[in-house]
Amino acid sequence: MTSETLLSEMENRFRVNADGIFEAGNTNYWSNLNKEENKELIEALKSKPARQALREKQPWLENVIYSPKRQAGLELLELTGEETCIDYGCMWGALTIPLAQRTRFVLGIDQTLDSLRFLKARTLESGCGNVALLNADLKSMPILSHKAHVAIVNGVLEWIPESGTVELKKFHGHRAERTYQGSPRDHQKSFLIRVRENLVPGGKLYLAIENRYAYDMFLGAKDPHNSLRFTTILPRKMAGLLSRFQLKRPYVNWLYSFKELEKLLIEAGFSSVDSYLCFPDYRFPERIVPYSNDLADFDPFRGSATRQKLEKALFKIMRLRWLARSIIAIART
Amino acid sequence: MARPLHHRDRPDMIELLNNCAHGKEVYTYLVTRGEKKYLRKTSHTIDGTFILDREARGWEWYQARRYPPPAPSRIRYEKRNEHSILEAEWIEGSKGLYTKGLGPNAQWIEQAIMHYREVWPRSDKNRVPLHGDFSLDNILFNSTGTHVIDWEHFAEEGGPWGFDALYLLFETLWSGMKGRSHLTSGETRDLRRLFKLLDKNSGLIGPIKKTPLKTIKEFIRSHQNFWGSQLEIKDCKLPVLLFSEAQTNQIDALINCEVAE
Repeated sequence: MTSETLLSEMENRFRVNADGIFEAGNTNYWSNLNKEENKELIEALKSKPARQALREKQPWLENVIYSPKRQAGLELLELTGEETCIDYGCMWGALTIPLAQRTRFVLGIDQTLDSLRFLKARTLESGCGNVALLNADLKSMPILSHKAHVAIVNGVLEWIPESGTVELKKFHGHRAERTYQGSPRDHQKSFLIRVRENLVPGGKLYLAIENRYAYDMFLGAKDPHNSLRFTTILPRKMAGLLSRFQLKRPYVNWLYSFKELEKLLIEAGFSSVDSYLCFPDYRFPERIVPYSNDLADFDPFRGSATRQKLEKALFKIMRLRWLARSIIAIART
Repeated sequence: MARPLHHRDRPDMIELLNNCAHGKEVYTYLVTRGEKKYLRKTSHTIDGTFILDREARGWEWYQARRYPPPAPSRIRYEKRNEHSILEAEWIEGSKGLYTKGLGPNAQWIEQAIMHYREVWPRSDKNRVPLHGDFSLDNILFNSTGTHVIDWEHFAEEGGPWGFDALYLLFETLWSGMKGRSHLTSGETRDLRRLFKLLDKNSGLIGPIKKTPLKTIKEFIRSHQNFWGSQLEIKDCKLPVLLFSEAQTNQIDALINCEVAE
């Protein structure tokens, strides 16, 4: 498949808006920024380069979006430069741009139009002419006739069961009644089936997500998706009750263990899965270690002395891989 | 010469060891193919590729001296625009721990100095290639001898003969002093002995022999382009610079005193 054919398909199937972004009739919103904040940022883009606008309006996001550390995991894909890729939930393009710089073509899909507007500005500024952007609901994502070689699902799977508007600052730890239909796992599995169906035979999926059984969850760390403690490690029903009690909504941002994630991917039709342990997390990884590694040479990443000692004991001495904080899975169709 | 990488050389396993350490946009991985292991460094920026270019040149120079033909090349390097990938054979071995200071590392430093004397050629102009980070952390010792790794700061005809070996000596000394202002008698004895070993048969010439620490510091300060981002981050990435002027004079005097004896 060539990138031109995928681009042609996009042009034939979807309307292009004034910003040059394809639209598939989506109304969902998911962002770390509130709608008002996003509006301000997009307004600033009219007179300033993307990075400068971000630095002025939301300086805390600069490192999140631009840090070169974010792309370290892409090496696991062993890219040749000839690939066509789809970045699901691409947001501001932390991986879209690095991927575009290394491959033939990238389609970035996101359900928040404002995030794509920012990313569009970035692609124009960085001269990435090989990127197309599609605003679509990830849960009812189109199946494409022209398939990709690589799919990216980076910090997205756990949010798939959500719908409507999620303004993260108003969502984290805040009480808000929300209704959901169906099991979170079913939504996630359906999404992964669609991801797989958009890949060529032999295509690869890069999936990054927090580990349900990360050791710090047992120590009372807050779930980064809802600010509740212990929800990830509790049985799902108990986590649901806890969430209803504290946040007035069910617990749907399901995370998985290494084994559970592998099972989910196989059920979604992937033929093989290679799992990796990530330290300190998948967003800014300092160590990425194959699950099959014996960890004899594991060297804890810098942090507090206590954390280093704990990680050394858990991983180097006791080799409790299943307690790693984040997971990267490379699944093949 | 470095051999190119081919797509058929896909690894069985890949592991991230270092992500943009010291502000450099260079990613370091351990790659396994069958029984063999490789250290892979990649970059996707012009600055990072400049660093890997230097590293590839450093490796080529070193392996021509250390592993002369017909030994097969130990590195492979490929560059496409601003994208670069370098793989070097993984070397198993023991390392000294520079934070422990001169005494516990004296044997390792001795071996490293002997290796330096064997590999680094002397030239009429007294300008020789510079490793630039000749630290105990970058020197491996195994049954086949001494192996210097991590050539990111390599500079051809970079500095006076002895620079790298003296840097090793002073960095380890500084780390062991842990903020003390004066050297212990043990440190003085080790420093003099190791300096003498390097200088044997008049290896050192000119200011680097008379005032070695002062010369090393001045050289680093006047050639900041060799170290770039390391100096921008903080001085302690090059601990030799942290010796005070008084300490520098004291150490140079101690060394000179012995040489004059």
